[in-house]
Amino acid sequence: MKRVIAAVMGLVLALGPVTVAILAMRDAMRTVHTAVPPGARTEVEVAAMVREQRRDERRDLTEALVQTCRARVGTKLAPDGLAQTGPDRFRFTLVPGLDEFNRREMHGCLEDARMQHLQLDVLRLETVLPNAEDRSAGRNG
Amino acid sequence: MTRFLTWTTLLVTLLGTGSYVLIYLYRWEWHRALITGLFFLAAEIALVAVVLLRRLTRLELAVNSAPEPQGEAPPAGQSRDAQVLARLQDSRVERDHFVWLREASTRTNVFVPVLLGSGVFLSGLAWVIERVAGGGARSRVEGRLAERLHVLAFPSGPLVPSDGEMLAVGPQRDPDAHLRLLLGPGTAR
Repeated sequence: MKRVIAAVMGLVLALGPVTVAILAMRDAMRTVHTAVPPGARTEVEVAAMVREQRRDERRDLTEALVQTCRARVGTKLAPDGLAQTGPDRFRFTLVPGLDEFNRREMHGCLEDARMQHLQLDVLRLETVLPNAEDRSAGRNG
Repeated sequence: MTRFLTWTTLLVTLLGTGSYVLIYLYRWEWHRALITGLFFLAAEIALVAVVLLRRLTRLELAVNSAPEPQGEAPPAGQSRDAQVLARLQDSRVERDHFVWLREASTRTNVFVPVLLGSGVFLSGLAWVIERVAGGGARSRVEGRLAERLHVLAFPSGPLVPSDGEMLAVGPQRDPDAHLRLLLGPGTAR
């Protein structure tokens, strides 16, 4: 009888933290879209690392991955497209802007091991509101 | 030392890959989560295999080192398998598969040739009866059948009248009713 009670107590004690962990994970990964003010845009800057033999294709590979990820979150690339700000750095703008969960998804999609021979590091990803005075929303997801 | 290293490696791999699966899922990095998950699965299977092998080894050792049953001192230098084999051979029951033949030979050995002989005799008798009955009855049966089939047989003459017969009959003469029927309405009066 004592062993049974001890086993049940152990199970309850183990289940507690596990339950808390599962609920926390659920909250963190749940997709809840929040409204983004019209006219907002998301500015992204990435560093692209490619294999030596595909150096010349850096821009093409980066653009391909950016297009894939922006389609995944349901947004569009701004008309000015991908601008190269350094030997391995690119900047682009997404319109309409992304909410918190979409930013997180975009960040993960860009940094994931998705495309062969290409590895992106997201240096900056923030949603800029149309009103310059309210430029505090959504730092990196 | 080897066991310690094995267990440490397995546990570290499990914890690390399991944690990173969750971390990558949180970060929405699905591909990395999938790859890490595969490693987690492999480590888990390895852990299960190690545990099972340890249990099997322990069982094997327990069986091999089990004490001998009371009252049966094993002969010196004999392995456990040899002991079991010797016990089986000692308890074997000898069987004579042809004892029924030996017992039958004293009383019933004359029965089989008698049966065979009577079988041959009866077959011969049946053959004789068949030949006799067939020879006598066949001709009479065929004759009776021929009489019955006589009415169905074709006439000896031709079925259609010849040109000479037609001329002989002519249109004015009264033809035979059967002939008129045969020749058709053209010869009707």
